[in-house]
Parts: sequence; structure tokens; C-alpha cells
Amino acid sequence: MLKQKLNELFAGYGYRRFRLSKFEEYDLYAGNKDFLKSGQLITFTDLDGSLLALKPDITLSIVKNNRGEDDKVFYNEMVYRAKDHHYREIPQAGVECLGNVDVYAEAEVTALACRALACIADSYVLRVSDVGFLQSVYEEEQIPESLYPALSEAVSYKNTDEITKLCRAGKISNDTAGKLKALISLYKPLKQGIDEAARLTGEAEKGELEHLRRIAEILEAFGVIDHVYLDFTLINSMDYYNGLIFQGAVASVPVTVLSGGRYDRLPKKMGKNISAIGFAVYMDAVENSLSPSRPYDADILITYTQDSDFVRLARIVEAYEKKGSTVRTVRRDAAKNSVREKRFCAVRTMEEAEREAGI
Amino acid sequence: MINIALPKGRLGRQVYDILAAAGYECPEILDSRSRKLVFENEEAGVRYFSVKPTDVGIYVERGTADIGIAGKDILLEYQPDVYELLDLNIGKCRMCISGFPDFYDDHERVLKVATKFPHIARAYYEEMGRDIDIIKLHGSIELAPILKMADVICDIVETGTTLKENNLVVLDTVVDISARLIANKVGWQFKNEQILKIRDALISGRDAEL
Repeated sequence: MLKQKLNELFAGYGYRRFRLSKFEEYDLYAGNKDFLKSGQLITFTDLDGSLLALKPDITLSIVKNNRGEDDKVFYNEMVYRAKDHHYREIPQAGVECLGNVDVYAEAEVTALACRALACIADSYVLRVSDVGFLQSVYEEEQIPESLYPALSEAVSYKNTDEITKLCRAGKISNDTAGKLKALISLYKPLKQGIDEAARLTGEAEKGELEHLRRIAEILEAFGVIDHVYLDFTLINSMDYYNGLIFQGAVASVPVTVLSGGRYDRLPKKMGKNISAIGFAVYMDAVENSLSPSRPYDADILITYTQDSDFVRLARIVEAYEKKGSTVRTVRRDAAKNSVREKRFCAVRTMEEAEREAGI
Repeated sequence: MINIALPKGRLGRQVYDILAAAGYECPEILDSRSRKLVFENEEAGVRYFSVKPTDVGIYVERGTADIGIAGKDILLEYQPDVYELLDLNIGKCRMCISGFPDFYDDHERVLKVATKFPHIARAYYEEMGRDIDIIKLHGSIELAPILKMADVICDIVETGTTLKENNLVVLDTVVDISARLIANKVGWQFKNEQILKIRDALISGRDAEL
């Protein structure tokens, strides 16, 4: 159901459905291990001796298949990954925009991410950031590069006390610590957030903020700006994202359900002169939390015996089914043990069911 | 409603006292005879769960609790995907490598390390490039070197009394530990104001102690 909604949404903005085989050459993944969260793949040898893998990711295949042209595609497929010490089949949907990616294209993909979240739940938030922003703050504050990993970890955990400790240890100045702590705590609607970030970092506005401002204007026109927040602590897997990144969440699911951003480095690495932006929706996280579980197997269980009138029974079943109730029938005199314990909203004999259905 | 996972025991009690003073009280929780695990104060908008300290991270990561109080040892060991919003500066202790005073680290052999914290121990020795054999135990770690099952132990040291009584000494400190306020990453976005209010209450509670 959600799958269908997302497909219609993406197709509605002119994105083309990308389908691919479950298998992909192993070399594609071996050469791009840093792009994958885990290097663990399900691999096997094809009949001609070549090594194949069950695809752990779809973006890589989409980029691989691009021949340098502008393209907008979406997918809704299974990926195969190691998760919690086991290989799992995980449904994933997403969008990729390749080729010449300008500010409009970035904003469009971001707006699509918002709309995708809206398909999941009314109450959603898309947090955006620019991976270059903190980097340029580090550089401006002349923080030694050896401190970057420690700082980035503290930032990603919103751990302001860790910044205080680094400051007390004399590794960063009071002023720098104050700025970083303020940036970590910044979580505001996009436009407001940009203003505040500009105030915090002072002087000439950074290119990243100016860029975010332009995106904000376009998001406003798309009518999604109210759900977009600025949060500079989104810095995970920085090594393949550059520029704009975002993560989406809905109130009813306790984990991130959507993540994406600009990733020009991947096509460059594969020798393609194109830019790229996209996002993925973690369908498994959504389905696990949101699929309503039915507390019973059928609305009504109608019991009958070998002496019952089967023609009448068929009519009763049809009557219930037409009304929209789910019906299951069982022979009362048949061996009960062969039927798995089931739960029903109501159990009726044929006669009772007939009366209630008003036949 | 904010759901708070408190670790059972002294630390949880200490944190509760700070929160209660800030208006998030739920007196029922103080009744030591009670076997209840969930305590709610609808007016103040809080619900407390009393859980095993090692489980706090799990409750918060899975969003059953929006925030929780966990020792840094638990966060380092289990690495739950949560925000670490505050160092409460209480429940302080050290994660240490301990052994007999005459311990000599023979690099020709694989070092046998008994611990409740295999992840922390592995990370510590990996950084040194030392090959180790982890023996995961659930309690009475000090017994392992005494019975020669392990060369050293990697465990929490608070006062050092247990070590002393077993003729063991601290050989190195792996990391300093204290209690942290953690938050679910999604809960943090949707209940931001309430969570920050509780964090501020804990900050003033912490700073009053200093």
C-alpha cells in the first residue's frame, strides 16, 4: 500500500521506474566498499565462473548504468544486507536524480523526500544540513585536522559536554567551543535556522548557508518548508556525501526512515562526469512499526456439520463476503486438532449466521 | 508524555531526585515495597520505567523510552544509536585493566582478558595492536586471574576495595565513566522542547551539586 503510494508519487514528478536483476557483478561492490555500510555480501559463482552478488544497494547499479545523460529514476526493490549478524532481505524505495544537478533539482528531490514522508504519516520532520558547513567552521577556527574525528563524533551524538572537555584539555579555544556547542544545539525550522547559524558564525555568510537559503525558497514554493528543519549534527557517512544532506523521521517510528543527499563523488569515482542526488526510504523500518496488526484471523467463523446444506452455506458465506466481512468456515464434527488455533471476532453456527445475515 | 528509562538502583534514584525537584515527581517510585515497573504522572507529563542498567540504551534506541540515564560504559559497550545529551557527572567510576601487581605482559603469547565488556576491551587492545583472547563473564570477574583463567580483567573500578581484597591492582585506566542523559534520535525531533526542558533541569541539578 505504501509501496504503491510512493511509486505513484515518484512517477507523478516524472521519475522513471528503474528495475534490475537481483544479481550484480561482485566487482561493482568490491570497488566501492566505502559506499556500502557493510562489506558483507551474499556472493556466489555464476556458471561461467564469474563472481556475482545479491545486490546490497541500488544506487550503485543506477549510477553504473548511467551513460552521462540527465536522468531521474526511482526504485522500489529488495536489497540483501547483513543486519544484526544475519543476512536479510530488506525492502527499499528511493529516488535518484543524475546528470546536471542544479539548485532546483536539489530542492525538488528534497521536496519529494518530504512528500514521501507525508505518505507514511502526517507528523514528519526532514532535517537538512550541508556537510561542508562544519568543515568550513573547523577550518575557519583553525582546528588541527587530528581533532576532526573526535569533534565529528561529539557533534553526531549532540554531545556538548565532550566539546567542553576538549576545551578544558586546551585542545580548542573557549570561543570555538562556544560556537560548536551552539551549532550542535541548533535545531530550528530551516529559514530560522539559517539566520541563527549566520549569526553564530558571523562575518561574511558562508557559501553553504547561502545555498541552503536558495533551497529554502524553492521548498517554500513546493509547500513543504514547514516540515524542514536545520540540524548540523547530521554528518554520518560524510565520506561519500558532499553538500546537501537530509534525514527524515515520522513521529510514530523510532528510527530514521529516510536518508539522502548529494553524492557527486560516487559517479566521479566510477569515471562519470555527472552529479547526483537522491534518497532512500527504509521500507522495513516503516512496515515493522506501522503495519496494523490484526488481532484475529477472520471476522466470523461459521461452523457446520456433514448434514448441513452446503448450497445454503455457500449463500451465507457469499452474503458475508459481500458485506465486507471476512468469513471462514469449519466442520464442527471434523477433527478439531487438525485446525490451528485461530482467533475470530465471532463464532456462529450456520443457522445463527443465516439469521444475522438476514437471508 | 515523555517516557524516561531509569536504571534500577542508586543511580536511578539519584537522577529521579533531581527530576522530582524540578517538577517531574512521581512519588510512587519511592515505595520500595512496590513491584511496579512503570510509574506515571500525567499532570507533569512523565512516565518512568525502572529497567536493568544495561538495558537502558535498548529502550531508548527502540523509542520505547524517549530519554534515559545510562553509564558511559554501557554506551561504549553496546553503542546504541542515540544522542548523548548530557554528562551528569554522577555515578563516576573508571573502566580499568587490572591484574596482579607482578603482571608482565608477554607479547609472545595471546593475552587472556576476562570482562563483562568485550567490546570496550577489544577496542582498547586493538588500538595497541595487541592480540587478545576475550573471556566474556557476567560477574565475579576478579575470580578469573585468581584461578589463572585470565591474565588480566577489564572491569569497572569504583573504590578499588574488591580488587584490593583479591590482591589485584589497577594496571591502566581505559576510560573514565559517568552517567549520561541519552535520547532517542526521532523522539528528540518530535519532543524537542520537553526533552530540552528536562535536560536543563538536570543541568541545574548537576551544577547545584558541584
